[in-house]
Amino acid sequence: MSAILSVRDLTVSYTTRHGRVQAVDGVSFAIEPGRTLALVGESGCGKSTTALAAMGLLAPTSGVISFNGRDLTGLKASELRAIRSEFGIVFQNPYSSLDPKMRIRDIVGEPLSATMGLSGRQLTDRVVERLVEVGLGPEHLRRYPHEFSGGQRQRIAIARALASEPRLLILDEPTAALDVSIQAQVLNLLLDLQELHGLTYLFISHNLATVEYVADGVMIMYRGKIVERGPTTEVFAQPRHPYTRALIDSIPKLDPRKRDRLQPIVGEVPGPYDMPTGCAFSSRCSFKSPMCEKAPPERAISEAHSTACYHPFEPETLT
Amino acid sequence: MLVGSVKAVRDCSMVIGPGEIVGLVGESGSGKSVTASACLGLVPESGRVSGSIEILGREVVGRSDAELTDMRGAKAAMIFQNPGTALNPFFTVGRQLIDIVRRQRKLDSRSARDAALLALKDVRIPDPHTALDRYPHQMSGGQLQRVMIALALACEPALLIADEPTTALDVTVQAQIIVLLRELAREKNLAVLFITHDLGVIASLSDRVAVMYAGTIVESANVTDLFDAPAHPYTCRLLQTIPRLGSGDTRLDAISGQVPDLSRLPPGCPFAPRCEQSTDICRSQEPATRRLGEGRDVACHHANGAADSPPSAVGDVA
Repeated sequence: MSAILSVRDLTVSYTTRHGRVQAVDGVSFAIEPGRTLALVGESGCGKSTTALAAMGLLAPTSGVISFNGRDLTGLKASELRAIRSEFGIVFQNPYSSLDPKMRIRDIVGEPLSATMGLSGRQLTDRVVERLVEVGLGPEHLRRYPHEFSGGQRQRIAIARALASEPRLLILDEPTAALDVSIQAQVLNLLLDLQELHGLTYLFISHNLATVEYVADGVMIMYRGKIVERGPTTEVFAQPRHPYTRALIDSIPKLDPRKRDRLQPIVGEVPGPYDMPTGCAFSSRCSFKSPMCEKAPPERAISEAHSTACYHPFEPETLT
Repeated sequence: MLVGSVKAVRDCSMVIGPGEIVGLVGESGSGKSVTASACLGLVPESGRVSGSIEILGREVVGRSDAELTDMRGAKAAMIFQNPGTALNPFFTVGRQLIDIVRRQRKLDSRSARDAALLALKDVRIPDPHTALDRYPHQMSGGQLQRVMIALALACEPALLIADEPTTALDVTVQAQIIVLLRELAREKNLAVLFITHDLGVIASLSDRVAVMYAGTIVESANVTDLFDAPAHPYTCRLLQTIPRLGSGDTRLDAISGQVPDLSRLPPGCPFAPRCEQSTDICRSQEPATRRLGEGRDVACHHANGAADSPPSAVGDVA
């Protein structure tokens, strides 16, 4: 199957007073229609920058981004705008992503009037359709965002993202700001909508458990680079890169008897100006060798699973 | 504008012993932060607190501001979710630590500096000498939270109240802070009231747990008992609703509905509208807190059986 979105050698760098900052460093991936690909990493690893660049919302330093076989880099603003109706984005914080001065009808309807030229009755009908899909009734049309809870607001943000019937949704930490009981409702809704519309998701998250729940494939990002990728269940059950394993070991387990398994990695993510040469994780890695001073290339472990590490874990060493 | 009054917290009781970590868990608006603020007399002026809160045998409720100021830091201290906003950006970390130590422990400047250095060493800040001269913006979120803990513990309080101190941090940093707090509680025989919405953090940190919902403690238990056999339907549902790594779940068991508005609480049990086990009595009569077993209380008309699990040995103060 051909990819709906493919990104090749994406690099985003900034020049600052202190030097050059490499926010995204040679990232490549492709998402097939109807699938969910997750991008996982900690604050500042470049996952949101990757997503913004992939949508043409941020000009990459270099790289090729193609959507439905069409190269987005180098397109004019007006051409980009026309393509953007084919993908939607849901942000983390529904308190800041919805305009407090707009009514729900206009928030959800804006993409419809902007990209499809709908208005009046037609527009309202479409808005109601989207609202019902996300579990909100037509009685909410004239209300303002402040009249809704966090979970309801995120439903509204999802309805807006789906308004122009896009094929690809970028979900940037869509449940990180929600309470757990609400998080489950929203995740279930996203899965239902995917099935209903055959949607493709790029799911950005730092929460590995939600990633495992929604995504078919996962990419682990550290300091601008993909360090491991593969089928979600395989990567989490048998992580090969020391960073992936450290991430998994850092998650508090829901079992007090297993609390000693919580093993923090030493040190901190290096800053943009004190990056170690070679592998970015080498400054914190206990398996580091002289080889690691040269950046490790991504190597295949199986057909779909690969990692950028000279000393990947063998599956047997994991219990 | 005052439109009416809301009972943010109702009839909460708990005891924390020395060296014990008690987790207070609940969703947004459940009243967990208000409960914590009340312990240090930090409820906003419009709020009224009734009941009794004692720290080392000294009553907090009804104290004057001056008396409270003396107690804060010396008897009990607090750390918050966002360390970046809790520190003053204009002063070095060392200056802020030294000021507190001098104010509360009446030390001269040389011994105050030594105490500040020691406080930073206690929280395992790498290179504490350099850290003293750094400004908050020169430190990472994880380091700042360590500084906050150092500030809180600099005057050797008996109780540390930690309000979501790891929520704004990445998981790898959160794990470091959890391990640090565990070690500090043991080393210093420090009592910790740890507030969080994250049951995973509770499981890896606390000895006992109190679960809050809509302003009341609906269940409290030893940590292993709570996770082995949750007694209150809300606790059960909460545990089912969390995605677990490696579970192979294809469908999450969400709790339907929303947390009730505290100004319009339903009559009876506040969880009844979302509870699958609710009956007529739940919708008319608020359940009293009942003892189910050793250190195990629940406020539910229907909870039982769960008390059969054997009491665990850790941190049982009742």
